[in-house]
Amino acid sequence: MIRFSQWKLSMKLAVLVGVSLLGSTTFGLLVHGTLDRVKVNGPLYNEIVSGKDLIADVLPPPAYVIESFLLVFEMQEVRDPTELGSLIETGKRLRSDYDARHDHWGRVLADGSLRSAMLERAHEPALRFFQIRDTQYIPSLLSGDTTRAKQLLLGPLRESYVEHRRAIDRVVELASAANLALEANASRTIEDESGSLLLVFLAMALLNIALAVAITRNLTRRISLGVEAAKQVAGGNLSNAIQVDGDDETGVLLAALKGMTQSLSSLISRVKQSSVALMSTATEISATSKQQESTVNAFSASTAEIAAAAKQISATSQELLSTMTEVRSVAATSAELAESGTTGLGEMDKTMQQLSASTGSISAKLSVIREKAGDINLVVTTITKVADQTNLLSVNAAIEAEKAGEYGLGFLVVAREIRRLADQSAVATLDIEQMVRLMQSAVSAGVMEMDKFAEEVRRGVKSVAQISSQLAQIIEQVHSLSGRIDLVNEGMRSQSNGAAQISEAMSQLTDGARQTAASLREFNTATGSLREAVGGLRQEISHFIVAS
Amino acid sequence: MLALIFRVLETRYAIACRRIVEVIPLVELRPTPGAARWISGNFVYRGALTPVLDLCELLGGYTCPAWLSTRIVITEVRLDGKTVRAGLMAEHVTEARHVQGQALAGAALAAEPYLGDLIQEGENLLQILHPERIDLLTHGVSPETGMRGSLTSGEADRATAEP
Repeated sequence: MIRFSQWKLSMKLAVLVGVSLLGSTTFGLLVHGTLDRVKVNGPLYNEIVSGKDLIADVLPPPAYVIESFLLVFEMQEVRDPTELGSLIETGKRLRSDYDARHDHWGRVLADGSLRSAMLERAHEPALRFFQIRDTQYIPSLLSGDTTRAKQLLLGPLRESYVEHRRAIDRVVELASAANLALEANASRTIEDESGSLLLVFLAMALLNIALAVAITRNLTRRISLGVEAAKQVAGGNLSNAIQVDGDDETGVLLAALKGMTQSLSSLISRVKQSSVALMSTATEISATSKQQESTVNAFSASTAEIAAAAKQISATSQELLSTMTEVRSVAATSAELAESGTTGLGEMDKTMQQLSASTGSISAKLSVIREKAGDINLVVTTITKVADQTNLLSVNAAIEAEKAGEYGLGFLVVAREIRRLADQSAVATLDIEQMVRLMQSAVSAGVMEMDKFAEEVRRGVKSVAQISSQLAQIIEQVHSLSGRIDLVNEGMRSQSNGAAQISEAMSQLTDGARQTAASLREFNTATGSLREAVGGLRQEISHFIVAS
Repeated sequence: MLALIFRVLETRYAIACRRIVEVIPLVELRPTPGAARWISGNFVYRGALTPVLDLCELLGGYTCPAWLSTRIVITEVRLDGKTVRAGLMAEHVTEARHVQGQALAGAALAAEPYLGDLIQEGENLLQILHPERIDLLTHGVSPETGMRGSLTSGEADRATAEP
């Protein structure tokens, strides 16, 4: 027997559809049988209806006052009061039963002729019956008036009952007619439903089969597409594009297959391009190495030239060495000269300081002279005041002498003399004043000149100090120069040595260049074998067909 | 005649020594607000309150500068018809000498009564000043009232000039 997993996909789907059809047919048959058993006038229905009929035949219905009417007849014959009491109780219970049923039908029945017959025409005489029984008949029985009771029984009570009974007959007639109509309706409905069930079943079966066929076709078509594409890829053809439609599992499988083919295709085309590039690169390398070979040969010639130049440099640095020695001796001489200049400047500085001090003392003396001149001025002022007083005295003396008349004539002469003396002394003081003023201005001018001179001396001292410091710098620089000249000498010597070493190194370089040329030739051979390998790779790849 | 010589703006004046009490140096004066411009102030001379006239202001129109030669001449002037003692401040008051020479004839054209004869001394002219004719209240109150003074005849001066 073949295992389930080895079945074809269409086979599996056919089995699925067959099983589902079998199941739904079984379900339909079961439903049909059940409906047939429970339908109106079917076996189950008839059984239930006959049970209901039995109960209706045996039990008196509470809504029908026949039992109450019979009870009233029984009361007429009974003489024992206790028995009568129990009968009255039974009557009350029957009435409450009637009321309960009446209320029930009032709630249940729909509007129509049946409702009016039951609740109005049958109810009104029943109510009247119960009223006469309870208000007239039972009190007359209890009071022992049997004749009146009998009159009531055969009169109004009987009439009410008869009327009620006629109404009930009418109700029964109406209810039977309604039941027949309902039964007919129900059986018609069941027949209709059975027909539609059969139709639904047939439609479902057809739909099932159609869906199964469609799904099977779809699945098998896509999978065979995938298989075809995979076969082509295996054969090396990558140019066919795979059609992808739908998002289900087979669609995803096809899309993955397509992606794989595309990436494989791009990989192969890149490898093809790379191999072309590799080929051209190998060619270039070969050309470059040939060029390098010629360059190395040229380099070898250049190094020989450089070696010659280095020898020349060595000779030149020897000459420079002797020149530097001469420069050194000249620098030493100039340093000595600068030192002697510094000593001379030191002496000059000392002299300048002395000059500055002398200027200060002269200024002090001049200021003393100015003070003295001020003193002289004071004295002159005093003399002037005395002369003025004397003049005033002489004038007053003359006036007094005039007043004295002839006796005052001699005194007048004395007064005139006094005035003359006063005038003379005033003139003298004027002269002194003039002289002192001249002296004072001369002293002021002298002081000013001295100040200017002192300023110049200070400036001189300052410039001497500057020159001295500059000379010191020169000496220092000359000293450092001699040190540097030593360094230069040293450098020259090492340069000469270095040139010799360079010459030697150049000859070594020439040897190296020759060796390099040899290895370049070997490199060329290796490049040739690389080209061969790339050619093999290209041939391998050319089996694959790639969409351009 | 012995006279005290002084100058105002290079013009020489003389006051007869007979009229002079004393010549004193410049003293500090107490100002007199509201008085005429040439009243410099007053001071106490020998126990009496004495007003001082500025002759530079009266004759030359400028205030006397405070030289040593600027002095106060104590003399007598008129006030309301009476004779009072007053000081006359002037410049270059340094000389008292005999004045010789003739009073010049002709019109002196002196507007004020205190100006006396003009005397020729060599090339210079000297004008006699009469302090006793100065009236403290009336002189120089205004130019119009000042015109009251008439041309001096010079008689009185001649009389006093004689020794």
